[in-house]
Amino acid sequence: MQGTRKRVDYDTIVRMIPRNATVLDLGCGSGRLLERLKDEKNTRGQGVEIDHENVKSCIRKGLDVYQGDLNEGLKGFQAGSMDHVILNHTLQYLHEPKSILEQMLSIGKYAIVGVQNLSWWGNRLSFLISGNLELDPFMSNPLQENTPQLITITQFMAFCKKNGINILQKHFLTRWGELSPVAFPNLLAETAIFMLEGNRGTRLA
Amino acid sequence: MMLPVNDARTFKSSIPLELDCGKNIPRFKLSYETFGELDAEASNAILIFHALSGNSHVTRKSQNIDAGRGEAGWWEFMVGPGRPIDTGQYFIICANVLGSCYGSTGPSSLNPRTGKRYCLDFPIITIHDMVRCQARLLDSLDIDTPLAVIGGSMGGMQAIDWALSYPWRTRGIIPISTTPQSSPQSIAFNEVGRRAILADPRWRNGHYYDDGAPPDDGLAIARMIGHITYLSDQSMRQKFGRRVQNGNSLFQHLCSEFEVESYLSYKGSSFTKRFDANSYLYLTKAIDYFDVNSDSRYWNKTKMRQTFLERMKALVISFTSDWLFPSYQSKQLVHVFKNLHVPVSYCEIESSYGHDAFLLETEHQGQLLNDFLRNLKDDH
Repeated sequence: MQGTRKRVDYDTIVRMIPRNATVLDLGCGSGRLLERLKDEKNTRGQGVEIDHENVKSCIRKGLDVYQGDLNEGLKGFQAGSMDHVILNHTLQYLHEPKSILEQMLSIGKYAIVGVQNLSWWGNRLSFLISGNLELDPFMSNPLQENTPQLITITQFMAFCKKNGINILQKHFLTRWGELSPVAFPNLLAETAIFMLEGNRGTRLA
Repeated sequence: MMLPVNDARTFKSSIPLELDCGKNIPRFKLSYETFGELDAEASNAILIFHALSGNSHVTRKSQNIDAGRGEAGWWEFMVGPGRPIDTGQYFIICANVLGSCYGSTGPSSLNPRTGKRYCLDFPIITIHDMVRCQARLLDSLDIDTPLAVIGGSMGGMQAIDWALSYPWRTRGIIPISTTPQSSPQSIAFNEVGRRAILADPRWRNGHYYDDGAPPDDGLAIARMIGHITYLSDQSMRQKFGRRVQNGNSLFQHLCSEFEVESYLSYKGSSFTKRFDANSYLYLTKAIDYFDVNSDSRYWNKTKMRQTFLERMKALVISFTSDWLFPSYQSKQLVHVFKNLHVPVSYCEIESSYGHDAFLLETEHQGQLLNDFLRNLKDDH
């Protein structure tokens, strides 16, 4: 599904995570990120993934993976049991993203969230010219049951501010690389990766 | 009633076995088979536990498989040369459990204290009692730490018990189609099966071995009930529909008319030729008692136990149509492992076969086991 193309987001996340950390990757796909984290950062990882073939790929790679639907919640994971909880390229497919974020902030000391930016100039241009949005270069799936929710960087940061979630790091990416600090990330960044401070027990509004 | 199994060897232990119920038996024997070769470091052993009605014959010896000789094993598509659990790489051990009737000590065995058959003097046994016998068997084979312990259904309970009782004695655990705790529904079905046996006048308080006929009617009904719980609504519709046997018309008599009825009665009566009614009573009780949560020995938190638990790897597998041990129970098992900090994977395989799926589904199950075992071996 994701081929072997260079994943700038993976490079960024691998840099963000310290050696020997414990990591929970929600929607871990075939386990490529977890495998890189294990190889490059010696992390102890666990994935959650809904697709059976992806689960099998993870097992083949020797990763620990739980076949399950994030929309059913993360009841089995104890509060504070992980250093980092990752949700990359998945937020927009959740029925109740707020509830998952709440649980991530409770389970992890840190939450790492990758957000597809609807208002990236490429999306704006594409819509202007063709009337179409090719929102997600990795899994575009219009009118399917998993049609993504549309969200912008500005909206996500406003959401964090409103809920008192401390953003410890933000990385703005295009498919070619990370942007150095920019004035208009909402326009220039195709995706953004945030590291949020775990904040046990907060209910998000 | 002791049923011989081809190629099986017998392990005899004459050290008394203290049982969970507080009683003991002065000695016991286990019938077992091995497949493949043990490597020089004794690091490639895999212990497979069978389910309620199984035995040590998990597969045929390689040369018999190749030549098409001998009776097929109960997990033959999974175990053998080049199969998912490859006897070319691993040394497989499978033993008939304590209490069963395929060559291991059970209610039909002679009680050395009286010189007569145990019958109902055979003490109540638990899953843990079965597992302790097999630990002694592995001692006798000089296998300290098997690479993995694997089992489905009641075999899965033994795998769980092994891993949590002796975390230093395995590196991997694969419980399939099983549960951390027998549910009231599963206890209920077992109880109806037991009642069918007890209600058979030929059961005679379990003293039927030496004179008279065994309680075949009761045992057959018990098996029929069990068999229903091993199938699924979908698999029964696919397999039988509402077809009437031999194309007869309905409204003729009150006995078996539908194909599903004759299938069940065939399964029931053929079971009586290969299983002992008293063993059925004892083994289903052991299944009913199984409860990881209420058993303190699994939750004893010493540092040494914890070190080994965290070093272990578990792969829990369930099947979508299994309603005897449904997927939610496997998920509960995953949480048990998580609470004990055992690294665990969970996979739910799509299947219409019901509880029996673990005995029938080759492709996904085989791949998962093969990959998981290879990684365990490579990590060593």
